[in-house]
Amino acid sequence: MSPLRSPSTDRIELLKGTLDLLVLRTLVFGPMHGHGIAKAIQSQSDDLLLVDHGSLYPALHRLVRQGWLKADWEDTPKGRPMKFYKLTPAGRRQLAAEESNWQQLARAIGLVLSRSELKRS
Amino acid sequence: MAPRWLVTLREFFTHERRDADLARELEAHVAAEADERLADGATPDEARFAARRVVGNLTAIRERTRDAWTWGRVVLMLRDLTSGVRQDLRYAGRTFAKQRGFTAAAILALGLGIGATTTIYSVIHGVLLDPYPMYREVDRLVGFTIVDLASGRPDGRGAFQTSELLDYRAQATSFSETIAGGGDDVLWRTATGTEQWSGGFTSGNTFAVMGAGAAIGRTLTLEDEAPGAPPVFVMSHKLWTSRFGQDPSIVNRVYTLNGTPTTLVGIMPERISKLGAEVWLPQRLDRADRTLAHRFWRFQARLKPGVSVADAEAEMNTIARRVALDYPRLYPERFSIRVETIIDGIVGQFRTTLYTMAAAVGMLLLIACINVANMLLSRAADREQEMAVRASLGANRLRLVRQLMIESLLLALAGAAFGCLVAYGGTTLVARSMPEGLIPRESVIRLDPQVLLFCLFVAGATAVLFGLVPALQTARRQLTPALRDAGKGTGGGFRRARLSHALVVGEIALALVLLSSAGVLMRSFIKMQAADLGFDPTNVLVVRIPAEPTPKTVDAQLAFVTQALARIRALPGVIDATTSNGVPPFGGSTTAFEVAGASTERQRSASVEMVSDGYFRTLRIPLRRGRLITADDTSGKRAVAVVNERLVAQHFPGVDPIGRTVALRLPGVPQTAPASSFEIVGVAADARNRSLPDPIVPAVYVPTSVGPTRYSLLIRTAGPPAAMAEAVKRELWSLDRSLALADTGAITEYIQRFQYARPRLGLVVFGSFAGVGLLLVVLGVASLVAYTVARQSREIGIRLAIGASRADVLRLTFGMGLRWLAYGVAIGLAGSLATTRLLAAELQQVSARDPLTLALGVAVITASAALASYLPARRATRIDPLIVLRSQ
Repeated sequence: MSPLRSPSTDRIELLKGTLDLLVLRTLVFGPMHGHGIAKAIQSQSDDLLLVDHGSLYPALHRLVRQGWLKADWEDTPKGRPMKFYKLTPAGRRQLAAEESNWQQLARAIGLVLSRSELKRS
Repeated sequence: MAPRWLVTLREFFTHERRDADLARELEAHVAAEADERLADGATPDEARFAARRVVGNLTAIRERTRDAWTWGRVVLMLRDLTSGVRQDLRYAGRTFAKQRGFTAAAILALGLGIGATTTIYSVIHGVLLDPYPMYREVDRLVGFTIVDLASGRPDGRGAFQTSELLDYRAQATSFSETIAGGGDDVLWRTATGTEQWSGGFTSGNTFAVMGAGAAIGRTLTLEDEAPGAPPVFVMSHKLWTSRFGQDPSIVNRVYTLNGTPTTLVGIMPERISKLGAEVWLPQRLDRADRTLAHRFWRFQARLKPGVSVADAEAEMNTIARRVALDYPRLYPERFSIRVETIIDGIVGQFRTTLYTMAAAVGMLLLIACINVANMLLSRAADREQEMAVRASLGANRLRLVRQLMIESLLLALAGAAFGCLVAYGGTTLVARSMPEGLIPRESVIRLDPQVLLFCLFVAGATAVLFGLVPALQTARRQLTPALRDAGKGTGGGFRRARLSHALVVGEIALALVLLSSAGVLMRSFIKMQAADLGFDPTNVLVVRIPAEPTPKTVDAQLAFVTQALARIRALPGVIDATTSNGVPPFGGSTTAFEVAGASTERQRSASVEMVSDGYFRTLRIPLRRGRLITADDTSGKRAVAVVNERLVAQHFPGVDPIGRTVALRLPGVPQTAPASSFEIVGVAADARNRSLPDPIVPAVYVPTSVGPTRYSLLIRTAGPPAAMAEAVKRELWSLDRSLALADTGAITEYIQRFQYARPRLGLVVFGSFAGVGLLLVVLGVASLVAYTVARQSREIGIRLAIGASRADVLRLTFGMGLRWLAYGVAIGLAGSLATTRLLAAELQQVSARDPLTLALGVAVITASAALASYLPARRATRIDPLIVLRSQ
């Protein structure tokens, strides 16, 4: 679903919904417009993740539709109005849930990968 | 959070807005990205270019985002469809606005076709097919006729004698209920005089069986006819309105009818006129009642559930064999009982008229559809190029078809709306202006929704079908030929033109058939009106004097008549007066007679009228030989007679009848009494004495002194007869207050009412058909010529440019119209000859193939079609070749 590009241009496929998680997390720090969110994810991941704009906007609109984000046009200091996205209370709750899911998933995958031999139950 | 379906619905309606919003958002994003580059020192162009590259394909992003919005593709498709349809509608609207002439003509044709057809069919339906909407399940009510198989005629005896009827009633098992009734006069005595009403003496359960309840009060019941029951009656709505001004308080009042105080218990609803009566009284049929022994009644019954008309007929015929043995005088040697529903009883006599009318209705609709089809085909030719261009630009065929379909549907809708208007207006107009006596009293003329729907469907289907032709053409053929040439009247257009021409020819032929039918009917009607009656009916007042309940003695009657005549003749404004027991031209009753000294095998019969002196003088019937009846004859009760020429020709060929004797029994004299002899003293000219279409029958006129019952006063007035009516009535009442008077009016009115009704109906119906058909044909021919001219304007331009004269052009275009006319007339004539034969039953003294009428029809249609094609053709001559050629 959401491809990301590393400098070596192979694409690492993200699991579906991961972009949503990243977007929600980015907005914890305050409302941001689409451009800002893309830049934030890039810099937060140390340039490992470059967001494909073709996936970002659908994700943003989907999140608005589901009620986890709210969007409003606001003026920027530069004078250009831009559409800012903000977390809703429901969105915060969703973020918490997804983070915990992700932790569990990461731990589970990590466990499997770290076994040196096949564990029998 | 709002429920999903609500969100989806909201999204559906805000699609465009959010789309615009997204576009703005993406623009802003790109701009922000560009700003960064600018800050780094790039030029605005470079910055923008780089920003776009980073962000990617905006259109693709928009699409993907939009995909995420809507819930399903279906919603998106629907959106697309509606916006597409809206676009099509706008386009269609513009096209129609541009071609106002065509649009108007097409809508007119559709509307007239639908409207006229529905109106006329509604009339036929109301009058002939469903004349009893107020009764319950009329298809289960039957009547009976005894048909003489030897006579070969379809009509027969529909009235049954009292005990005969009771025999049938007792033995038949096919019916759940039976009713019997007969008409007779009812005399209402008031303080000032006596009025006479038509009475219906009918079984108590009559209205229950028919399924009609009272409008006010109650209707008759079976108890009312029981012996000893209090006398009651019900009144018709018509009488209640005309005589009592719809006063509701008259119910439960007592009226002296036929000498008996009778209570009015109810008023019947509108349009119920069973037995043609104004009031109904309960009548019990009792074998034991001697007064009823020789009376005849109409007999009707309701079929038991599950019993068919055929079953009932079979049973009745079986019973009839037995009954005929008991009443040999009443049954011909070979007979059968016909059982038919009361509607068939009416429709039966109109059957051929009905079929021809139905065919005419179909023809009219066909003409209208042909018109519309032709107009659309013509337009299709113009659209060829347009369709080709659009298809080559990538328009999907479905889209083209959809657009054309929408155009046709719009046209069909507009035509349908107009048609409904015409139909509604037409039926209202007809219902209101239908003169009385023209149609059965009980019919309702009402817009028939089924017919309207049918017409709408047919016309709509035509419009849609023929509107689709250009799209179907485009789909089939290659585009390049159409694109390359101007698309005006070449290539495949030629074949289509043939179809249009064929349709117009067909239209002309159909219209000619309708015109001939109308023409033939009209001539027949005119002839009928102009028919020599044999007497002078202008300004003759008729006062009918019905039978009295206590008849006077012959002398008293004679004295009364003499006095009355003397008084009336003395009135200023009266030229002459007389009496007769018949009303001319209807003649007297058919009576058998013998000629003394010349017996024959076949029974002689003649119309016998009992007249006062002055009869021939008043009616201006000339004398041919001998003398007329005088006052001496009447006062002296002489047994003399005057006969008409027809009788002489038939029964005294070549000899002088004066002095010979005829023997007959006068009307009202029982069969058992001996015949009276009359000496012939004069021969009068023939005068009509049966229905106008029927030939004059032999007639015998005898003096009135020899025992009349009911009779009529015939008064020739100087001025309009109606003006004298009151004065005459006053004179009569001053002589005898108990004299009931009824039905006064001019003879010409009677004739109008009873003789002309049916032919006039046929004339009106066919006349209107022909009129509308003609209008449609004119419309069709004019539009087709106009379109052909428009299509071939380039060719015409070229011809003019290379030297053809305007007259040549006129000949070309006008000649085209005339060619269609020729073919159309030829086919139409053939059709007329075939179809007018169907009308033969309706015609008097006019052959169905009357050459004058056909010639007239051809002339009318030629003139109309010629005019219709001349005007557009003339426009062709005004084509400026330069303009036309340059515009290609």
